[in-house]
Amino acid sequence: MTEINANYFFQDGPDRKHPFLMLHGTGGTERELLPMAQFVNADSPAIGIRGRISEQGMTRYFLHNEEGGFDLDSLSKETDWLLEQFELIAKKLKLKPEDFTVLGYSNGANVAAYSLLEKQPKFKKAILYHPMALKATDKFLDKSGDKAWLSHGDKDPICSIDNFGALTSFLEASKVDVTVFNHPEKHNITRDEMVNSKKWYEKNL
Amino acid sequence: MTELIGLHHLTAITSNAPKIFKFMTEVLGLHLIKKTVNQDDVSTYHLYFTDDLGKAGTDITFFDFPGIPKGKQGKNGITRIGFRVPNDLALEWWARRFADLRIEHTPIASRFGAKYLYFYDFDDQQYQLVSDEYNHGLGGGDYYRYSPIPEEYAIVGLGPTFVTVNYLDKMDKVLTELMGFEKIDRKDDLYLYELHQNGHGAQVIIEDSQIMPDQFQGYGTVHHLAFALEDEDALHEWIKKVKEFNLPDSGFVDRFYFKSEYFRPGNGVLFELATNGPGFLLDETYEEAGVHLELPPFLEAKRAEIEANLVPFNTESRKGK
Repeated sequence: MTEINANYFFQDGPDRKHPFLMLHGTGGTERELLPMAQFVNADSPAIGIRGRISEQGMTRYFLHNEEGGFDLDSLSKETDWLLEQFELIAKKLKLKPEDFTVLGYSNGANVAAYSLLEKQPKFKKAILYHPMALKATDKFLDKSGDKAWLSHGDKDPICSIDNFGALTSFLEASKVDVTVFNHPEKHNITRDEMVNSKKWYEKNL
Repeated sequence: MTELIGLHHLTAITSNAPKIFKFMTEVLGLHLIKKTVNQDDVSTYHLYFTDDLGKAGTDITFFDFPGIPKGKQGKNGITRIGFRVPNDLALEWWARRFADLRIEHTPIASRFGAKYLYFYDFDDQQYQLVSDEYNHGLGGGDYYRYSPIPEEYAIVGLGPTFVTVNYLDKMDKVLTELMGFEKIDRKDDLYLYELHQNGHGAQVIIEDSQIMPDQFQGYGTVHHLAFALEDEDALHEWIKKVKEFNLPDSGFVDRFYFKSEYFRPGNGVLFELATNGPGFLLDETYEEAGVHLELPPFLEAKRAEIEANLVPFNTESRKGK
């Protein structure tokens, strides 16, 4: 039986049927997304888990390889670790993993999307700010019942329009109910974007 | 009690010194008036881009810390560098120039009574150009005589600069009660502050941001923003004032080209107070400036070693050629 060894943060809330799992961006911490989670639902309990990789002093959820691409072995291994830790922590806090909405930004959003596509995470709903496809998914699992809201900036230098399009296609091919928000800016989160994610969340409670 | 005058300089972080040199001189038409090293880390260039003679209020400087990762924009940091152009016609000219050079930029819009656009460099550093069409207050710098930009369109100096924080009230207090700013306008989450009716060269825009993750200060972000004081006497008065306000501060620092005091108005933001003089042309001639690697006396003995660790650029004067 594995132990909890993640750095995690927890803030409790009265709406225990709708907790959040927060996954930060590169260089972020387990607390970083709390204001966003609270904006979407101020009553939700929220767990944040810190990625255990550190590259050039920046926290991440998985490694790059020597050529600067994504280390897919690390991605798979670290995601397994993350999802396992998530379940252990949720149960310890007497929260049901199936009730969670994952809320991720950038690196955290990428890993959450990858989990939906290629792993069996217990969460069924995802709010993903500026995710990208980390790899091509060639075998599509059946994730009917899962719902995801994703956002993208047209001028994002990190995630091209093609990559984002591919990501939404993969999710749809996996039967995830996908909602997309686009803005004409870059990797930044706008106020409209936050409001849109909140509206989607409330509609899909 | 002397007043703060306006913006003095801004220091940002780049991934690549030769590339930022090209961008600042060829795209923006500024003058590399000083090529030197960070005195605390001699493997890092410190580059100063100004108007013709290095007037305070026209100065943007860059560090290229080796190995520093890319920054992330967010709250609790200085988030957009302002520059001024003479008028609306000039702003339109720059919009066309950016389109021609494929420099990422936004369409011209209007805010706080002035037309502006945003633009970005190769590090995704965030800038804005603001038209001085209806500006008042401080004039700008002197036209850089070897600028590739026609004089009627040339950038006149630093302009309204964005600071994004989740502690609006605290920042307001520091700006108005300590520094002498006045809040003069507001649009949505943006609050315009100005020093002593001195116009675009003395303005900051405070953005209220409660939700976003924090800024990560890698390349493509701003390190600090400095405000101008008349002289060293004024600086010493102000150091006392900052200490009485109980903000974390550095005390007197001799930066050779000017004298300074650094302080933090709040999390993640670094301000500096800097004197108008002595200036950049005490230790070398106008022709040598920016071409010769300038080193302070205590580093001169290590010149060969230092130069060996830096990628050389602009090693022959192209001034007047």
